[in-house]
Amino acid sequence: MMAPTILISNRIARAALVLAGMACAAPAMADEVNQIAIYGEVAPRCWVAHPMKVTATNATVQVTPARAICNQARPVLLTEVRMIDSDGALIRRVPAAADQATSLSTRTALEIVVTPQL
Amino acid sequence: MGFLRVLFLLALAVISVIASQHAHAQVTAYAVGQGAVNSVEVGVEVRASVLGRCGFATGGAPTGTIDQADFDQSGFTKDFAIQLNCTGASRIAISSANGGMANAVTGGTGYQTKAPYNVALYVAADNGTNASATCAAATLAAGGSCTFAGTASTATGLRLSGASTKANGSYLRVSAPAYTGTDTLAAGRYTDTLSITVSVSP
Repeated sequence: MMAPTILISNRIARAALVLAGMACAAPAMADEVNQIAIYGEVAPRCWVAHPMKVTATNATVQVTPARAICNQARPVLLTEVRMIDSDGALIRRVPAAADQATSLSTRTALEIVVTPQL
Repeated sequence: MGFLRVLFLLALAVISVIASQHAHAQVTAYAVGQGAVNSVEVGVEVRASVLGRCGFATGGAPTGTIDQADFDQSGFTKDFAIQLNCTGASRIAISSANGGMANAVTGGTGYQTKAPYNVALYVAADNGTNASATCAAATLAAGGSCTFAGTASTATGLRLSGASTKANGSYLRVSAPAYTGTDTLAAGRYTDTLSITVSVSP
């Protein structure tokens, strides 16, 4: 049988036109994608936002409470009593909870330390 | 009657055109020795256009990482160099996976688990023109309002009107000052990923 060349040519031409049309019609999207990674670390820490302020007069004593902030959910509080002698030298430093039975010296300071629990 | 005559003539004309086309389509080529016509010439007009190619030059894509300890106190800044290879106008777009540096821990009242930072884009063309913009990472998340948020396309991204095929000093800068937010930034590891795309822009 004789091959009808014209039909084959038409099919090829149609396919070429369709392909060309697809190439032209496709929306131009991003040609390349690249990524960069950003990391950072925030160490657990606590800090005093407002220190305790005690204002004593003959009549009244005003106490502004301290405020400590920790960036971790489980801070640890450590309260110590510091007893100082008349010369200003440290005599004892004991946890406040254990100091109930201890007689305090005339000069005593209460120190509260707040730290992150790691 | 006149109308019918016109209609008849029109019908004749249409039939004549169809007949002529049919006759043309019936031209058949045969193998050599099998017939008089051995080839048929068919003219096919093909029109196509090719958009300019645009991408990052070899080794010119912004890549790498930044890892900053205690960034809430010190802040950070880092530049990632960009070299384009675009033969025409282009657009660059950036998307942020988290819209900020995110911490996987669960936050609570008074605590923040997403740290803000800024992304600056500066691109320069071979002809000396340039384009630049700065956005908060929060506006680079999906649906963000930054001018170069999203995936680059012919209509999305920061547009550079000229070709850029050389090292023109283009860069992407990520930076953040020391954290000053009202809520405390929770301790832990923070991360984000930026995706940078480039596209031609007719």
